[in-house]
Amino acid sequence: MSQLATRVGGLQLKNPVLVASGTFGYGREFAPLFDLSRLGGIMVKGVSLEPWSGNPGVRLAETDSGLLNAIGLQNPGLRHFLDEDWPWLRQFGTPVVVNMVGHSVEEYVAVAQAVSDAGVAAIELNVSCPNIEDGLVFGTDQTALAGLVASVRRVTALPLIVKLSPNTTGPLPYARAAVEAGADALSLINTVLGMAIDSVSRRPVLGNVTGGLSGPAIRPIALRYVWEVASTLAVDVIGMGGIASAQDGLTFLEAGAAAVAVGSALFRDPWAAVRLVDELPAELAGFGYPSVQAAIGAARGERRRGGGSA
Amino acid sequence: MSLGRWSVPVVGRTAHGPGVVELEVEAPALAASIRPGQFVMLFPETPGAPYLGRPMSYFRRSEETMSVLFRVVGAGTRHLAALVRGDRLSALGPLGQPFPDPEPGEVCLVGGGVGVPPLYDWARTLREQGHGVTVLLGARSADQLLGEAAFSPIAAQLLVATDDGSRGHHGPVTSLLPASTATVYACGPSAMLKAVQEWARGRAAPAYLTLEARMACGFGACLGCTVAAANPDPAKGDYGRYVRVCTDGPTFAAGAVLL
Repeated sequence: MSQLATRVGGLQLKNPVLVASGTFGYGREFAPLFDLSRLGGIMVKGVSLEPWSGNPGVRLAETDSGLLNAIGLQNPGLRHFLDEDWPWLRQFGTPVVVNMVGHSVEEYVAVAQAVSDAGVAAIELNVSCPNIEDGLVFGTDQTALAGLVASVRRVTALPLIVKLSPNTTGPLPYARAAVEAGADALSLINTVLGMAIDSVSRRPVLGNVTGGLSGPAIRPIALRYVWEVASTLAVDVIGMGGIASAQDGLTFLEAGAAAVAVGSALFRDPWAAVRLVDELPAELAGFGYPSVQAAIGAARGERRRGGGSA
Repeated sequence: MSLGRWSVPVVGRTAHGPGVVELEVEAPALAASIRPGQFVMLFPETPGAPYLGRPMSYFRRSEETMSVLFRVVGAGTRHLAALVRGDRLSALGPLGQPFPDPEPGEVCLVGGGVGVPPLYDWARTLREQGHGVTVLLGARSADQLLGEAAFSPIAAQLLVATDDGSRGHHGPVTSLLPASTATVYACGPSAMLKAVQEWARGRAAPAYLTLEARMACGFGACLGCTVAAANPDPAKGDYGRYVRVCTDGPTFAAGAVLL
């Protein structure tokens, strides 16, 4: 493998830097700014079987070190993705991971089947949606999660990535359930549930009341999820949550991630992910790693000399 | 010109009444490429600055510089207002669609509160193109009125209204809207925009509303700044109920959005 190459759940990447679902649309806003083929991979905005309008009211609330969003997974739906976005996106040759959302197992299965036939690189399941049948969020119920993953597994041969919710008591039971049901890799983590009260109206800021927290505020939580899962289970992990720089990215590799994704940082700086790609070789070299592969999980090894004790 | 992100120095800071600041930055590339109606995302490069940028329409520009005029309302504007000559901020832009061209003939610009600044360079441009420009400026009170001095040399007619009657017409600025066939552009608080929208209903000449919204990115990726579309058109890619203020706007035909 070359210095930057990596592999997650059977998916070969020329570098370990992806862009996180929901922060990159389907690439159109970024294509005028840089060559999309420089990215290791693109995790597109969640695709549902039918178009979703998203949430009414205020959708954003800034926090001290990040943001809350309650977009409501607005997206143009499977048909639009297959007819308009995918034919355009595939020209860049960058592996495209299709994130998918659904209200029922049947919806996920239908989308998974359709995109598998289209030839995308991999599937990522957003399991933070409620099942319309019982109102339970798939990703916070081990049985529901396993059932969903197994159902999608049956209809696709593509690498199957499950994006776990951090809004549980901890990653391991859910990670285990997903892997045993057939997940090839895990994305860690999705946003952390939170809320904000408006300083003038004294009422919830977000139209949806609660929203998902992202940005630097959640980076330590994400790092801990990556560490726990990567040290315990034999499954590839894509680390995400507040990653903005090569320094951030390296810590996730060292914690055990095989690849990383840049998310909310793209809202501040649309070039953040390609800058990470550019700066990663020097960052690796600066700590004596000959390659990305050498850095993965390195933090579990013996402490380096000069390493501080907290 | 395509989107860029520049670190630019503050070269001027002027107070325009209580809590209102004009910040001028040296940004030749931006000043040369930005068009009336477009905006920038501003990120103070000072410690403790907020995570997200602040969307700001520009007020004036020269060959070398560009300025924004804003009221201090929260953490972001407080940080911007605290910048002094020599401090730097990052600017992402130009963003959004320029103002759509008017019909031939008269144009009427309606600005309320801090909605006034984005209209200034448009008024200048329209005047250069030979349009007669009527300007209606509104504020809560005389001390909060912005732009009167800047607009007066450009406007064929300049009318002022204040909510408390301390200057000009006593009442909402929208009560000064003309019974003409002028193309109307309005920027201001949502109550003012709703009044313009109501007034423009059934009118033959076009009226445009420039909206403000919370934004995370400003360039179409986050979908955080959406507004409900009156008649979503799937043929134009409007797959749902919402359009983006940042990239589909910030200026919309008055009948195109639900406020």
